[in-house]
Amino acid sequence: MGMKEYSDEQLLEMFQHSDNPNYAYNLIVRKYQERIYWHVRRLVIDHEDANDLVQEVFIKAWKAMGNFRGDSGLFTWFYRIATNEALSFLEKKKRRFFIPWHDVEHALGEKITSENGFTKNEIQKKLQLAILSLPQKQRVVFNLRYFEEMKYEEMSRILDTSQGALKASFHHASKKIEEYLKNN
Amino acid sequence: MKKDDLHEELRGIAPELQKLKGDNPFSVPEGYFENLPHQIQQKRAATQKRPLGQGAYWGIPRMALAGVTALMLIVAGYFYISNSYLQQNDFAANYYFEDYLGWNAEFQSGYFYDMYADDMETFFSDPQEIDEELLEYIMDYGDYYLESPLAIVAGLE
Repeated sequence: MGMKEYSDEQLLEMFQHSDNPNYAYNLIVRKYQERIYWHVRRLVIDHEDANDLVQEVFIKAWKAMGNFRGDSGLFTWFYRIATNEALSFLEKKKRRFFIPWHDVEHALGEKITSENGFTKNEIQKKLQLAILSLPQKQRVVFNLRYFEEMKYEEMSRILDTSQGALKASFHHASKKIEEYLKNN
Repeated sequence: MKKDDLHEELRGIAPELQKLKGDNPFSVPEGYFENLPHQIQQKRAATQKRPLGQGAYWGIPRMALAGVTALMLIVAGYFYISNSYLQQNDFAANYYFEDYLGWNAEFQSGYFYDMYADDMETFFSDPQEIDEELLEYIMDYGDYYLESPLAIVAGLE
């Protein structure tokens, strides 16, 4: 039996004003868990890291949802938290061991080529390695557009960046990746 | 052409990328998404069970703590070196030393959090212990790092 689909406004209303916010919260988690997970996973590559971060995202959301006004929508809000958590995680990784980004990138690349939790398809591996070569924020833009086919308008709300800048970023990223795929 | 059509967009700028669309190269353990809500609920419950003391502790902004530790290191460093190297090379020693300490304190307190954050309940039963342990850790490492800038500004090997 399928579960009833509630809109974000309904879920927020249930969470903030019902006697059982846990029920609404569970519905929210089930609604967004996969999208948030894949968004984070594509950034941090490793499943265990993604798992930890996704749980953090939803726990932070639980703590803040009571006061959330809903101006931006749950969808935008979750993606914003998830993006910040993933980028902070990568930044912390770089700082903790005093390593520059390209070494973090190399370590993530090794997770891709190790085949643990990853496809054996060589072209897909090459694509992921190409994406890893992008600057972090450009990776976010590329992933959201390419894998999730997110509209620039929505992306602009999540990343607080103009649509024009996002389009330019995606175009540059696509060209770089295309070049990488041709040369490797 | 449909507005905001990704495939059309890619066809124009990166045709090879456009051909690769569709595959998800990552995999997850079986049943992962079915169990995830339950895992989140358990973790949330564990977070809420933490005693008020520890919860209040983690409410302290990290930057504020870094500022306090930086100040303590600066004061400690001042007394440590005021009778020796600074007298020989006041300007250079003050500039490098305080700048370095500020950065070092921020890094070390952040490092401490990262190292212990997940294991606070294992390592410390009393929130007060965390403050003392952190300060001791900072002072130990502060002493260690003090040697390098001091040696440099004093012209020692």
